[in-house]
Amino acid sequence: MTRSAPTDRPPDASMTLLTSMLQRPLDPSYAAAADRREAQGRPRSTSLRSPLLITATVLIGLVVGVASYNLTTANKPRSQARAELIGQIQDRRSEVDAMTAQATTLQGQLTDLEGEQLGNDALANRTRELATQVGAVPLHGPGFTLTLDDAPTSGSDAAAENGGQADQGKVLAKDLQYVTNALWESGAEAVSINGKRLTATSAIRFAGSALVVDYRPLTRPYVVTALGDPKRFPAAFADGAGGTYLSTLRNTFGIRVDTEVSDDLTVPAAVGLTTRYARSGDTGEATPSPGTTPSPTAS
Amino acid sequence: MIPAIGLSLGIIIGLLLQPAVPVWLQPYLPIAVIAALDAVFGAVRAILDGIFDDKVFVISFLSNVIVAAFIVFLGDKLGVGAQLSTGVVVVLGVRIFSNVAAIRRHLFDA
Repeated sequence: MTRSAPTDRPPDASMTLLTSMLQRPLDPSYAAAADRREAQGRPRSTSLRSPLLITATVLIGLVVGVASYNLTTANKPRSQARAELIGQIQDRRSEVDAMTAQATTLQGQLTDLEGEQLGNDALANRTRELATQVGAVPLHGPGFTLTLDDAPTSGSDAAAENGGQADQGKVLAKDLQYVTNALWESGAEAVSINGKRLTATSAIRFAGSALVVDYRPLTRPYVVTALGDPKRFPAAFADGAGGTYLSTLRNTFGIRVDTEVSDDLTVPAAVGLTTRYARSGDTGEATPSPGTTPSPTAS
Repeated sequence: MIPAIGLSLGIIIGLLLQPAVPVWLQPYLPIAVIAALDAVFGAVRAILDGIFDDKVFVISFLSNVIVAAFIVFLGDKLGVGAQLSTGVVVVLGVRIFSNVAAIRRHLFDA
């Protein structure tokens, strides 16, 4: 199609709506009324003291006032309920924390008393050895801590609300599972995450967007403490699959990883080390050794 | 000055009385506020232009509120309430901005 001959049409004729909206925002009736008054020999502008105007301004003020009151208080019941629920969660959580602390203390006392009662014979030593391995007693020794944290860009709640992309830089349950398994694999003797001892029945899972270890949600940063042979263990972990995995996390997703080797670290005792359904068999003899290390976590 | 006092008086009365607006009316409150703001800024500009007219002001305010509320109501019935609310806010927002720009030119010569 050939171009038509130039016409008088303004170039923005197709945008008259936008043009008129931007260039004549004032009601043309103001100008029209002013012209009319001028034609009648009166001043172009009316007085600002007319009762009509005052009534209208009071009305407008009323609209603004009522709206601001109603719109700010509209969400009050919801936010109240929310605050109440948060309060309940915090209460229960501190209750659980207190009880956990109590259980740990009692368990420590129990272990001490057991040790006194059992004396020092072979069976007592066997019991102590088993307690060490299953996580019934706190342990300390050389090892290292791994601190994992979400990537700086994805840490905020704003990013979490965007969904999808926000998960890119977050530490997932999968990551902790992999790291923990790699720790066991390279010779860790005891592992805890944020002060929670991992045992043969520990589970690292996702619940919603929270990381959960043994049904207790964790908050970032995630501090993994692992005890093991100071000469061999950190190097074995760094050279093994765990080290590779962590460097991938760091380089690809920007997850912050800090490793710190220490001579004396403490891993607390596990809480609630009971079996509910499984029962031990004959208790006369020391039971066969249950494998040298607790089996790693499963999802 | 007197209109400004009237405006403040209205706001204070509204905040003190705290009348509960029925739920069905609440979606129209933001629209009403924006329409009111548009009328107020239009009036200020007209005052500075020297062509203010109280009847035009009252009628433009009322018609703004009514038309905006009607558009939102219609949109709710048609299932496009949110989009039409956005449209009303955009149109009135552009008007408020241009009026404020004109007021600024009057007051600061900039």
